[in-house]
Amino acid sequence: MDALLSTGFWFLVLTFTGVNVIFVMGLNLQVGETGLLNFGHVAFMATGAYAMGLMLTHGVHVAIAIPAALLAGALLGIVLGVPTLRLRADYFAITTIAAGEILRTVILNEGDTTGGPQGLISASGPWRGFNRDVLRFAEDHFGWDLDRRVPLLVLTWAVAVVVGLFLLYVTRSPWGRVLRAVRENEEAAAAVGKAVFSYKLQALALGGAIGALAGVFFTFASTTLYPENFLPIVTFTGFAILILGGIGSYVGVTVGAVLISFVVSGTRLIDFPIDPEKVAALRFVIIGLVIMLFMAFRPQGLLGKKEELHLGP
Amino acid sequence: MHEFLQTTVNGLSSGSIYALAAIGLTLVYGILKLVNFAHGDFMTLGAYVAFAVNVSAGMHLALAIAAALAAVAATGLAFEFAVWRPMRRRGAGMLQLLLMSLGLAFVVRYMIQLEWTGASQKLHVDPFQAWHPFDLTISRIQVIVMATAGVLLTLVAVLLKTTTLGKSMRALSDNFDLAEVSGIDTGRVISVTWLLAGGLAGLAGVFAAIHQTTFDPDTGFRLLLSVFAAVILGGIGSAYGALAGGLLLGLVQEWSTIGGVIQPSYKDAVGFLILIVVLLVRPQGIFGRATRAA
Repeated sequence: MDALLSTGFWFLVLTFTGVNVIFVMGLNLQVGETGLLNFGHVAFMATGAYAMGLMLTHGVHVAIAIPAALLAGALLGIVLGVPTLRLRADYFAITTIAAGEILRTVILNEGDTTGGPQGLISASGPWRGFNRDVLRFAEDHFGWDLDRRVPLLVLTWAVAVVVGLFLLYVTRSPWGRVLRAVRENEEAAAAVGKAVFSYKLQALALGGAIGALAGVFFTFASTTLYPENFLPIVTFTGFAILILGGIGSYVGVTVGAVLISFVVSGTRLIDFPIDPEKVAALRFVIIGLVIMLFMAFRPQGLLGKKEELHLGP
Repeated sequence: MHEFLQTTVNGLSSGSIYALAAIGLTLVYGILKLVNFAHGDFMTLGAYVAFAVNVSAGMHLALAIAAALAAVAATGLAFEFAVWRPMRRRGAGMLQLLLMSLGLAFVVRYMIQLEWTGASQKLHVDPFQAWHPFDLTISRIQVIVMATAGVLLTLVAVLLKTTTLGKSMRALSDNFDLAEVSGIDTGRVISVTWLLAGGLAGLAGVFAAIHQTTFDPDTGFRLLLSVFAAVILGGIGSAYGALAGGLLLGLVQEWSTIGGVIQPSYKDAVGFLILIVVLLVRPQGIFGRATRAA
């Protein structure tokens, strides 16, 4: 494989890794901090991606489309949370998968609006033109000859860092302490006068907005959106990242995302002596084994704290 | 009226597949408090074992069905000894077990893909042969599925109702500690439960493969959410409830298309919507009794 092509490939892999970091940070706020077992997190990503894609293809300015997409993610969190947050953890998990699948079925079947299985084409709107301008600017002013994938890579990771710092800040605030109190003991939190339900809803909505932000960057990176980009397996891979890195740890999420992305995409560069389709299957066998082995022997993951882990009765 | 009868036939045949799968899922939940996300992939495994016997080895379909039942029952039991029993000894929490089953689901599904590739496959069944009593269309496939599932579901119901083993299973599902104190050999009952859950899931998988005409490594997982819906509809932990919930879900999914108000492509989504509505309105299930939250 020629070297230049492979560098470009790595930039793309790293960009999607950054998208995954943002995605799983939202999940961590819900699962790790608040103890909400959201198995339908991909629905927030799909909402962010399609909301922005549909606005951009209908001529809405990108500066309005991005915040509106985040708002759509937060709204989905509220719409989903109000009826379902009172359910037990396992029921909540199943309900959220079901909600995600309903959303995906709608996207698949309302092809006149969403493009259906043919995909939503040019969903990234003006991004390509903007990217070209950035590259030209870098060349003209600094003499840098950058790969066309570099600007998005840098931007995605910059946003991931900002999101991570923001979450670290808010979860160390009194607000974050209440979330952890809700996770550890709902009745006790309620007994000292905390509005448990409202805190859970806030965590679900904020995590949802962050999931939608991941959807925004997913759209920039992949240009065309397909319903099969948003299968439940995306959420489950997110859980693998979370479990590997350590539930509750934002640094862990980043490490987990890099490792899992390497297993999923990076190994494409290594020549295995077996058929490529078998390699693809083997990757997910490995992810499954990682989940099982960590759950059995190190449920706190690589960087999580055991005393912070709450795995239910 | 004709449309109603036709959708009823279709619903009973898809519903009996849900029912077969749901009984095992609900018993495992009731007895072990394990929400088994690998149950759908047990179904897929059944379909592929049948494929190996029926297509690769060219043997009769009945033999393939028996092989799927035996192989997946054995797989269920093997995981009990390799994974679930050691995890229970360590005192694993409910969510820990749930996430483990998610990992196991990945392992089973992609081992299948490793062995048989991701391409869709078919069993040796003629999908076009059909009978037309009273102007209805009943395919040979539907007859095979409904007849076999009907016999097996009756057998399981009788097993649960009349045998000591069946009673012990229901007792464990109702109150594990009380059952253990009263002298039931819980280890043995758990083993039999896995055999039953695995075997029925394997059968459901073969029938799903026949019913849909083609199948691939994702088939079982795609059905799992509907099976969960059947379990919850019937009241989680209740075997009879799962049986009724499965049939009811199949019927409602098919009935929802009557009059063309809802497109058939939304059938699955209708099932998921029912799942959510039941959880919100009647979390103990349509046939379940309300109990005080623990």
